[in-house]
Formats: sequence, C-alpha cells, structure tokens
Amino acid sequence: MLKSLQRFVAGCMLGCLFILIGSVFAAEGQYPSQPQGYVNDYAQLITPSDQATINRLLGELEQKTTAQVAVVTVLSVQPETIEGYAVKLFEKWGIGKKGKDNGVLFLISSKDRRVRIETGYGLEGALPDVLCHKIIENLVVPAFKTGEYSKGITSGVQAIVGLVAKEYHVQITGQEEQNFDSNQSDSSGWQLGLLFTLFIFFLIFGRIYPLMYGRGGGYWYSGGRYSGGFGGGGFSGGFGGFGGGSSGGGGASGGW
Amino acid sequence: MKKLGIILGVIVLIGLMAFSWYQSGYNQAVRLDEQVKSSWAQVENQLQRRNDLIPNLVSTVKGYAAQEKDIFTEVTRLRSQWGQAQTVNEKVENSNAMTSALSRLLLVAENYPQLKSNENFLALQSELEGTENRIAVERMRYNNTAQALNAFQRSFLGRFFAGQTSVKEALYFKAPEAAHEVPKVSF
Repeated sequence: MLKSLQRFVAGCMLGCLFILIGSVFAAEGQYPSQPQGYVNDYAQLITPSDQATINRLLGELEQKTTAQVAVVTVLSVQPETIEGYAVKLFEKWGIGKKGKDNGVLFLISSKDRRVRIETGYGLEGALPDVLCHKIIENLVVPAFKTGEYSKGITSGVQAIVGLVAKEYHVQITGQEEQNFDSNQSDSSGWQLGLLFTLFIFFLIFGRIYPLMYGRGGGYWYSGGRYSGGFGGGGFSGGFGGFGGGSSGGGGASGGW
Repeated sequence: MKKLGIILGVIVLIGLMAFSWYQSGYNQAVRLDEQVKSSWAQVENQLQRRNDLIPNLVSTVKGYAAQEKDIFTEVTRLRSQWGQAQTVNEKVENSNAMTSALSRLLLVAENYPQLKSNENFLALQSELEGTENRIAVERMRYNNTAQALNAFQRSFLGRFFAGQTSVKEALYFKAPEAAHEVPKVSF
C-alpha cells in the first residue's frame, strides 16, 4: 500500500517535471502551437495596459481591413535564426487571410536580443523591407536599449498599424503617427514643427473618438460575436484565429 | 450463366480498381512535378528581384568607391551570365556565385564610412537583405518539393509511375557555402 503510494507520488513528480520542461521549451526555440490572440507575450515583456492598447488597435485593424498582425515575444528562438523561426511560425499559424496573405508577424526574442517584422506576401507593398528596417532601427531598438520593451513594442505596433491602415485607406482609432525616419542632421526646423503639430493633432483626434462613441458601443465591440469564444485576457474586438495567410520571407530584422 | 456473370463482375471490379490505382499514382507523379516547377518559379522570381537591385547598388557604391573595379566587374558579369543560364544547375551555380560576390561587395562598402551612412545605400542594403531572405525561404520550399518528388520517385511503385509520366528527378538547390554559418543569433 505504501509502496504503490510512493510510486504514485514519484509518477506525479515525474509528470510535473515533464510539464515544467515542456513549458520551458514552449518559450524557447519551439513553436507555440496555438496563438492566444493578437498578442502572445511568452517572454512577459508587455505591460497589461500596453497589451490592451495593442489588442484594441489590432482588433480594429482586422475588423476594418481583414489584415492580421501577430505580436509574439519569446525567450529564445535557438537553434534557429530569427528569420528562420519567423517564417516557420508564420506558416504554422497562417497569419493573415488565405488568398490575401495580409498578415504581419512582429517577433521579439528577448534572450537572443533579436527582433523581426515579417510581412505576408500581400503586405509587402505597405510594409516594404526598408520601412520595416526603419521601424526596428529607429523606434523599437532605441526603446529596447533603455530596457523599455513594452514601449518599444507598442511603438512598433503603432507604426505597423499606421502603414497597413494607410494601404487600406482607413483610420484606426487611437493610432498615433510614429516618426521612424532616421534623424537627419539637415532636417530644417519647420519640418520638425509640422511633424510635432501633426503628432499632437492625432493625439487629440485619437482621444476624441472614444468620447464620441462611448465605451459601451461602437467600434471595438462590434467584434462581439467572438466574445464567447476566446475569453480571458479581457480584450475587446475579439480575436477569431488567424486566416491561413502566408509569407515569403519579406520584412526586416534587427538586434540590440 | 450466373457463375459467368459473377466472374465477369469480379474481373470488371478488379479492372476498375487497377485503373483507379494507376490513375492516382500517375496523378501524384504529375502533381509533385508541378509543385517542383511552381516552387522553382518562385525561386527564380526572387533571384530576378535580386538582380534588379544590382545596377542601383553598383552605381551607389561606385559613387564612393570607384577604385574597387574588380568587384563591380564581377557582379555585373554574373548578372549578365544569369540571363544566359538555362538549366537549373547553371542557375543554382550562378545564384551561389552572386551571393558570394554581393557579400564581398558589401564588405568593400564597410571601408567607406560615407557610403555606409548614405541613405540610398542603406535602403538598398535593406532591400538586399530582404531579398536574400526571400531567396532563402523559396529555396527551402523548393527543396521540400524536390524532396517530395524524389522520395516518391524512389519509392517502390513511384519508379514505375515516374517512368510512365516521364517526370525526372528534381535537382536540389544547395545553399552557397558561405550561407552555412549565418551567425545572426548571438550566444
């Protein structure tokens, strides 16, 4: 009786060990099998309020344009390179709508200190390699270098959403214009002044919409048909899974 | 009479089964071959895309490093050679040579700080990196389809069907030697 109990306990401990190892692998170099939502923060880099902001933006983006953006943070992609990992994860999850291939994967690997924006075939025009590179080098990496991961990721998402929205000629509530052009020493004062004014304008403009439409109705909740499905995490404008889009390796990477 | 009917029925049934088996094997050989062809077309698309970047890249680098004639000649020569390459093997060889030549060109550019900060050059470098990645992705996908076809061909009955459809073995796109390290991951 005691012996079988011992064995049972040993079995449980072994099981726990496997689960522990498995969950470590889940974040390191393995491909998470199911997306949890637009934001998949396995490396715990994103603050809850930033996560809510990002979910709102991406939910509205999908609702208005059918484009799907996935934000994924992992601890490590080894033994793969971030490029190889990004392509495979993109394929596995099928980000973007099948046929339209309008998906984007924003992948951050915290231990490897590598970041990549991978674009689906359909968005290579809206997010050419050069702009992805600029977003990474001028928005994301500077924030990462000072340890502001959540802020860097959010700015990156803002920039991506802005470019995709522009491609589809839509406005996304709360989207803030990001300046990701590299600082040029010869940029004249008035350009900066104009940019600053526009930035403030969008900041204000972006804030008025929620007041006009109220929190209970309007945009973000029109995805309410999903609210029963993916529950938890408390995001609105529901995530209904990715649509089977594919990527050809376009985009850009960077490191910090 | 009845017995004859049954025997005939069985023969017809066997005939239909044999036909359906033959048809599915034949179709599979053709389908796998088509997949190889279409994924090769994607590879060529990306190689062409890379070639299209070259004139701009060469002229931008020349603007700062005109004396590095050798590498410009090499890259330009390979680009025109691409236009003449016919077989898959020739194209693979050309592509690998071009990859190596372009990395040497970028290495040369490293010695010219003014070039390195030139906006146009940075944009081209970014495009080139993106294109090289696309080539790598399409190459991987092509090799997968080639593997599927070759595995089928070498299988017990696959041989027979491949012969029937005159589908040939697919050549693998072996990555250039330099690509094997790709130490982009920091340890």
